[in-house]
Amino acid sequence: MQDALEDPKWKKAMNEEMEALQKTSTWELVVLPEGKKAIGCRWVYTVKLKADGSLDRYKARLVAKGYAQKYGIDYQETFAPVAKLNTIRILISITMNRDWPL
Amino acid sequence: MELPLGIKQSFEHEGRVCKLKRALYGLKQSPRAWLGRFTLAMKTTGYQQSNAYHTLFVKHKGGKVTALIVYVDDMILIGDDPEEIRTLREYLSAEFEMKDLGQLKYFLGIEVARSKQGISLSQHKYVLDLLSETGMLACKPVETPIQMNHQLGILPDQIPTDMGRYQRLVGKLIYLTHTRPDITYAVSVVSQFIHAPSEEHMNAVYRILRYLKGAPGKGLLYVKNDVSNIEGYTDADWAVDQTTRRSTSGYLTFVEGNLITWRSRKQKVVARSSAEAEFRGMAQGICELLWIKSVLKDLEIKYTDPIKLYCDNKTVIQIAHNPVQHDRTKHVEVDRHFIKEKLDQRIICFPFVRSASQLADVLTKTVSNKDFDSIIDKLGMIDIYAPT
Repeated sequence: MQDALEDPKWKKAMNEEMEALQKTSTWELVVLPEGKKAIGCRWVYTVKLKADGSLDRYKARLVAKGYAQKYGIDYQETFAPVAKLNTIRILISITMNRDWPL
Repeated sequence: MELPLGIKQSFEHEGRVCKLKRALYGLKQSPRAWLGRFTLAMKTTGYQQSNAYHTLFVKHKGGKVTALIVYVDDMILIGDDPEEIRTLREYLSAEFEMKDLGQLKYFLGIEVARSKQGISLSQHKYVLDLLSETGMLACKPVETPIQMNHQLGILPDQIPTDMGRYQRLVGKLIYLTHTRPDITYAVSVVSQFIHAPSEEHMNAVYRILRYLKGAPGKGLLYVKNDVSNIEGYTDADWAVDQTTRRSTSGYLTFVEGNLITWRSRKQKVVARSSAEAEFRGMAQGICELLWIKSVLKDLEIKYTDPIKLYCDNKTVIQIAHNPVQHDRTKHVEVDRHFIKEKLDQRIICFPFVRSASQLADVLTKTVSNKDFDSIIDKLGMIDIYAPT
């Protein structure tokens, strides 16, 4: 981690990510309310490669340590929009029988 | 959230934390936040979120339909209104910086191919990867995925096998059942032993792999059928489990002649008679058919005929129509009333099908090579990579 902070190419990547986060105003700075805990975050570094295997760019992404969140305190409902293959099959069958474009 | 490492720590940052206003990668609620945002955007352009399925969005305009399915950040657009599809594409790419990948070719590792005959779904590459990973590329293929009259069970004196490897392999095979109803039964059998796999069970897994080797490109073909109905087949195999005597039931559903869903599962309770096992299987099949009906309703597609659920057990069909309390079925009350209610509302009917043309057999028991091939054909499975 410390190494990455020193490295200019990672520094640049992190600055890019911070700028993007600031542009969308992802957070505001506040004083931590009493009795609450702040969850951690960390940097994830990836070297993006082009399709032919050559170096594309260095990317840093800030992620929250979601595993530290407690159900009922930090969040209530979760849901992931995952389509069942069944629905897709129904649509394909309907599409075929009606000559729709897909 | 704590301040990210590496931010310049100045005096004013002392004791401050970041209060998140938007979702960040890694949060427990990130995917939910994304769907909420997406749903809002879709609703403002006049799309309805389907009640039957949350990730389906539908818009009706002038008798034409456009439908969109979301899989986290992948989506599929279908419809008969090219104008509307174009507008939606432009809207989405402007709103979410999305890329249009053109015609559907590859979705979640499933290959989608178009031909004059129809649309096929297969996992050819996935099968080949799986075979090469397990070193089974050069194995001798077999005709069926599971041995006739296998006696697999958990025995006290079994020789244990590598559990992690067994579980990983079974997991991969389960993913493969998305396009392979032919191995569904075999996979459901081997997955019953993931907590205590033995050498014998591992051999059953290898047999499935050897079967896959025979036709790695086999997949489902969707064709134009000129039928407008929903159909299903149910079957149950009574008390087959050697250790617990539970039954296996399975169902297949078709929309307009194309296979949509299939399932093979061991029942949760012990059935006292084969009729009872069929009943439970039937109730499950009906639930699935009703769900399909509700999805189609959201697309404003309705059929005049009641849903046909084929069953090869005359006794069960009789009991379903007859409200008399039978001594031997009085304990399956809930399922029976549920079935009776749907019958009375004329939502569903149960035509009898001879065992010979019972397609759901392939999901509940081992069948002979000859029957297996003919059923698989009727399910609309073809090998698009097979040399003709």
